[in-house]
Amino acid sequence: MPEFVRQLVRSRRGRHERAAVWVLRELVRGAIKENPTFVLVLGLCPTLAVTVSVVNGFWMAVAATGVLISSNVIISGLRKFIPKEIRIPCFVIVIAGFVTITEMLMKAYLSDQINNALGIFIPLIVVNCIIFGRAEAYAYSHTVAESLVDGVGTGFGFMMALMLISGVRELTGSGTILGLKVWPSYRPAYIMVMAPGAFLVIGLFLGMFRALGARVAARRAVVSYEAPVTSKDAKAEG
Amino acid sequence: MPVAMTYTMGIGSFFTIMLSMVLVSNFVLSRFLGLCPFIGVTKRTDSAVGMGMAVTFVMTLASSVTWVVYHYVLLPQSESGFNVFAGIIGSDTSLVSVLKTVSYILVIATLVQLVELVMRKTVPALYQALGIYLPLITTNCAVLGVALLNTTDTPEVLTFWAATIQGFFGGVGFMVVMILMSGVRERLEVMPVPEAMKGVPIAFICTALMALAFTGFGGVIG
Amino acid sequence: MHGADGAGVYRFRRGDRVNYAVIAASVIALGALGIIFAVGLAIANAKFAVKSNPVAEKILEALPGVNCGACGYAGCSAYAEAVAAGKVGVDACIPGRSTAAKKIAAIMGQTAVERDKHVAIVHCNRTNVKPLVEYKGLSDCKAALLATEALYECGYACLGLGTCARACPFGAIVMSQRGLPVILEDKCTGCGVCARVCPKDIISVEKETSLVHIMCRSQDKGAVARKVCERACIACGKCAKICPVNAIEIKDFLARIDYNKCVSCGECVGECPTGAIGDFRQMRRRKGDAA
Repeated sequence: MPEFVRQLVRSRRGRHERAAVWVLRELVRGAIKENPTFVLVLGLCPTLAVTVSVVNGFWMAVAATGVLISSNVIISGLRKFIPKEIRIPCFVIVIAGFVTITEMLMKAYLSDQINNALGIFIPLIVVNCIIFGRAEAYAYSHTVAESLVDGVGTGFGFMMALMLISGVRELTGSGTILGLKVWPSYRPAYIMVMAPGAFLVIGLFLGMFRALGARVAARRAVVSYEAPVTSKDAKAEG
Repeated sequence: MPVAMTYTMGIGSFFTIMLSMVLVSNFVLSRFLGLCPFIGVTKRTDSAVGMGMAVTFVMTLASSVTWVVYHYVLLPQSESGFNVFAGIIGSDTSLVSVLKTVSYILVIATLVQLVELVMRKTVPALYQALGIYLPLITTNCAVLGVALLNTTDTPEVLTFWAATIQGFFGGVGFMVVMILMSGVRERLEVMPVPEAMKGVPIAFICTALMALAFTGFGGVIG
Repeated sequence: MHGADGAGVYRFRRGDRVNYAVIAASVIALGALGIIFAVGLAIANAKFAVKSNPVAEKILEALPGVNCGACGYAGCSAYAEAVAAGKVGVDACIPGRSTAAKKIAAIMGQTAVERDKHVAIVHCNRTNVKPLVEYKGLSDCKAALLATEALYECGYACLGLGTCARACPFGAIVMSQRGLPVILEDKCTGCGVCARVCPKDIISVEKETSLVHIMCRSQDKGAVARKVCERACIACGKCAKICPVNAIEIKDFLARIDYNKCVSCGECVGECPTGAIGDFRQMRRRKGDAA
């Protein structure tokens, strides 16, 4: 169990409060420190393709998070039965199964407009590096409960990232938020909802996140190195 | 033999497919497929070329095999003329929605494994150079993407050769952009880029400019 | 859900029943596909089997796998093959040092010789040297030399554009604020890539037991060198005179230490009027105390 969970157990808080704190910590970790899009730079294909509007981004995130949580739970539950040599094909089959289920659910319950907008990127969740990476790096070696919470945290981070990017692109590229025109006289920059705008937004966001993260890291790091002594330096007894 | 296998393609549609796959709706710059290796492998030109060739090969093979699977295993017999399971499920039921994703990914994983084996024997230097990126072709959105695009049946049903050629030129388009990007990134490495933008962020900005340039090809296909 | 690609909306109606035929067909289809592919891959695996040299593979595992080329071969696998074929000694891997040499020797059935640790030394202490040109271009020393002959008033000075730092496979070189490379000695393995890459030939790889080095490469006459750089070697000869083992020779207006004779006594360091000789004893001893 993670260290902070042990500490929480030792504390005098109630069991439900401890669980809630743990889940919240995972959410924050998935959203900021290990955000799959901005920090780990995984799963970029659907991120850039469907973030044309906030609604599309939302449903994409819901679909991906659903697959992530389900596959994490199942793979974690079966981890004792999956041999190490063939684990990759097993992961793929499990994830593909859940993606098919998600595909069918979305075709059944969401409007045609959303389904056409998301297009082939729903089946492409199968090869989304986020889900595959979490299965390999986490679910295969942790318990079901931990994998579940990890899936929730990572999915939450993915949702935040998609909301951010689609918010920016929809606002600048169509002048609307959730379909409502924000400012009547705004003439939208259509480039933002096309391919170049997507790459521009992700590049700037990545740079921004790196700058924020680097400043935090720089405050902590101390770089020190020694220089050789010459006759012009102050004499120091070695 | 159903008509789809024997139809010969005109030279006009050959050029149409080539131009549209490579320039007009380029897999990376227009369709947002294959971005992970695009960012991961383009630090050096030789690895970009090797990766591009491997992906093109896999995409072509995957297009062919998935076309066969789609038409003879998934589509109902009433639409394609022949279904392996017509005896069990009847001639009207479609397995498309159930098995499409799973069977395609199985096909692709097997093909990638096969390509790995062949490369290890025939071009071991390239195999070593590509290293971990070779098995990662399985999770390349472009490969699964081209298989799905070839078999959506809208706006029109593709013939076997059309699907294969579309896969091949999709791969070619992918490789072209990889080579362009690696050239740019090799130069970027020694440029005075702000610290936060070094590496991936500035590469994306350059991709944006490249995508902008490629939208200029939009009028090529009438 | 009928129709190509499953398009169209499906609404659940009471009375819809599970289509067992579809389930059966799916299971059979996937099972058959899986078996066909597995058999195909097994056959291909046998047909395309690469005759691997188990000895070379074991040697490869013992190597650090950095592919730096210090051994003289194109990469770790090339070196492993050569050792397995008996073409080269077991201790040519410099980053691997004695750990790798011992392991390889054990695999090959030989005894290994202890290899001295080497580190890279930067022989330039460019201090307050005025730039000759304003250079706006690629941050690469080799590229800068293509554009112009010299960046600083001292023609032998380090250009400080970081080619060595980028080339180091171990990340052991960082550029200081003054624009000089700093070798992080605990990361440096003495592989020599930086020395090969530096276009001004400022870096050399020496034994870790050599604790005194001349921090200058200037072959300009003493007066000229002193005018452009505060820490330049002016070839006054004081260090050569004081050296108890005659390890220093003044050639081409530059003092040079013969490392075969030098005992690292440090007498020359204090004698130098410009502070061009660097004493590495404290820095390495402190590291040794901490270790």
